[in-house]
Amino acid sequence: MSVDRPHQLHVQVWRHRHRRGVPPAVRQPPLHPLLEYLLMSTHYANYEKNRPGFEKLFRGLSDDTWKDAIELIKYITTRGGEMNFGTSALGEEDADAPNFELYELQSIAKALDMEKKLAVEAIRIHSEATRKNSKFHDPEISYHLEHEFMPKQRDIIRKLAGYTTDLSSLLDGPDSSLSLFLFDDYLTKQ
Amino acid sequence: MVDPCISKMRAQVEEELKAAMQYMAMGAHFSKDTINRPGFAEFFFKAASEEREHAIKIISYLLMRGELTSKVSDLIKRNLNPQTTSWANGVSAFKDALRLEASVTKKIRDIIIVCENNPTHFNDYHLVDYLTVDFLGEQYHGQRDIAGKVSTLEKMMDRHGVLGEFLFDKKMLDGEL
Repeated sequence: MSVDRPHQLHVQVWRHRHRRGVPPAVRQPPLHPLLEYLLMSTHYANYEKNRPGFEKLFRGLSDDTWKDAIELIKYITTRGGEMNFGTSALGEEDADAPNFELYELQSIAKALDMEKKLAVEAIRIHSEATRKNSKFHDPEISYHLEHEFMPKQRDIIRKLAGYTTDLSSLLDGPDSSLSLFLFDDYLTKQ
Repeated sequence: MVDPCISKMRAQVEEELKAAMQYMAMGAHFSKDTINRPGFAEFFFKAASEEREHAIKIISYLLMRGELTSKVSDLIKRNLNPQTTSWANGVSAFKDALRLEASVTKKIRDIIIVCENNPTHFNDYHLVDYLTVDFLGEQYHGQRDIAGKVSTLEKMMDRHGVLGEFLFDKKMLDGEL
């Protein structure tokens, strides 16, 4: 599946003052995915779309992303690293024509892609922090990823995947407009 | 709502988010082990979250007024990278913060002027009132708070240098300031 840029700061490796060896570059994923969720939420909150459930879903994702970003900055600095607010490491895939005014199923799919990309990135960092990269073995980072980060990603991905399953089957049925309304109503209660 | 009032309000969303990112950078700087000022860091992270809340408030207002039905993707250009990412000491960071708040206040005042007086002669009373009471009120309180901190911190550092900043940081961390 294609993936967009994840929302969190990702530390590829840490600059560790007292460590020898090649100081790893501190990776900085763009914070704009955080803004992407905010824009998606805004789109569903206007009077024409009027989907409070979807608005709540994306606002929640944006809020969680923001909190996680702050936590991640604190974690990076706990490890003696430095937050790099420079350019995005993964590039701007949608830079030419970013579009956040999508249909409901498309928007959940986009969110799912973004979260999956984040998970893939975390797995890659984990593999570098473990024995795969012989110059760099960092069990603390792998612990943090395994215990703090990945379970959250797993749950978000599962939740969004479930939503896409439900929504696509509901929209295939005869009562698609009503189904969409009821699904949005369900989302307001989550 | 009418233009140019609408465009000014839309632009303000990005201004608030830029301020949020600048505060994030301040928080990140003071979290570093080589700087080690958790009180300052906490203050700036909190300020960052508040600026983001302001942006969300502006968006909510626009939505309430029936705006943002199109060009939502244009609302925020993606490059909100902060201009400065390191500071010599706490005082210089607070002074930057004060300048930042003052510039945001000026922009809000500009919106008010445009929304009161525009070529279509539509004085947007409700918006102007909302901005005046909610936004300007919070800006002025925030500026007063930061200005007070700058004064105290400068006095403490003048006689007691690093010890002054250290104690100030711990008092901020404990919520005493």
